[in-house]
Amino acid sequence: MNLKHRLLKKPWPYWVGGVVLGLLNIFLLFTTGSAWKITTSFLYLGAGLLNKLGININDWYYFKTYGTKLNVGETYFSNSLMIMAIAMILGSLASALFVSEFGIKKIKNKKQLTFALLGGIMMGYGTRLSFGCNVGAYFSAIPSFSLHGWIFGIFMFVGAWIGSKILFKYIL
Amino acid sequence: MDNNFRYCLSAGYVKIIGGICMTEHRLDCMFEACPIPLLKAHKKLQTMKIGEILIMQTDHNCSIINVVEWAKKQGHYIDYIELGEGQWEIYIEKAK
Repeated sequence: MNLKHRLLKKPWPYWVGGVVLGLLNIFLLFTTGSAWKITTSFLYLGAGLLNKLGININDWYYFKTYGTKLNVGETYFSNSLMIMAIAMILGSLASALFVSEFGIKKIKNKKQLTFALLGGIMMGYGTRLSFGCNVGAYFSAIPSFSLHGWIFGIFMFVGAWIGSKILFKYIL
Repeated sequence: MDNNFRYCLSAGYVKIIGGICMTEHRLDCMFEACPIPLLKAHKKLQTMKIGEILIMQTDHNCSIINVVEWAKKQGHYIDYIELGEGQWEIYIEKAK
């Protein structure tokens, strides 16, 4: 009970999380040939849904220029990133259920909803400009000796600093 | 009625612990994620007097780590309890 409490109930220290994520990312690169990414799975989900609605997204500038980066035999809905995104959700669900902390978060008010939607759109757009979020373009890029990970990192901290000032002064 | 007690009444919240009157402020952080609860606590504590208590309600389990660590670093007294599964109340006494 005590071990279960310490392992599952209490949040882990940041350094433990960092080491575990690092090791899992090595394992992921070893098994799938690509380091951890998250936001590209949102791209695939959106692209797949639009495709199903009959919109030819392959004509879009983004896909024409940068391609879909899907491996042979993979589709928008069936690819390693999509499987991992679903697995992450299931894993989080399991860990919440283990300690009976599962609950549906309610929307607090209209202000929260508006800023969440606005923030989501801006983040989504930003990830396409920078080819990833703080996972793909930072966490996976720096260990891959990619210079753009460092540039992303510096400006992420600048952005977070400005964002928290705006949040603290005007939004809270 | 001493002045301290009168102040507590005028603030709207009275709690008597060991004969000492304490003013408490409540902060509703339900359904809010990082870093909103910490920033809200920071903002609220700036308006509070030393010795006053801040009670935060949260359902975000990161808060019981980062708010608690932050408040300790700031030198405030802090404790928290789990009200129900996945719901906590954090108590911060402003110390300086």
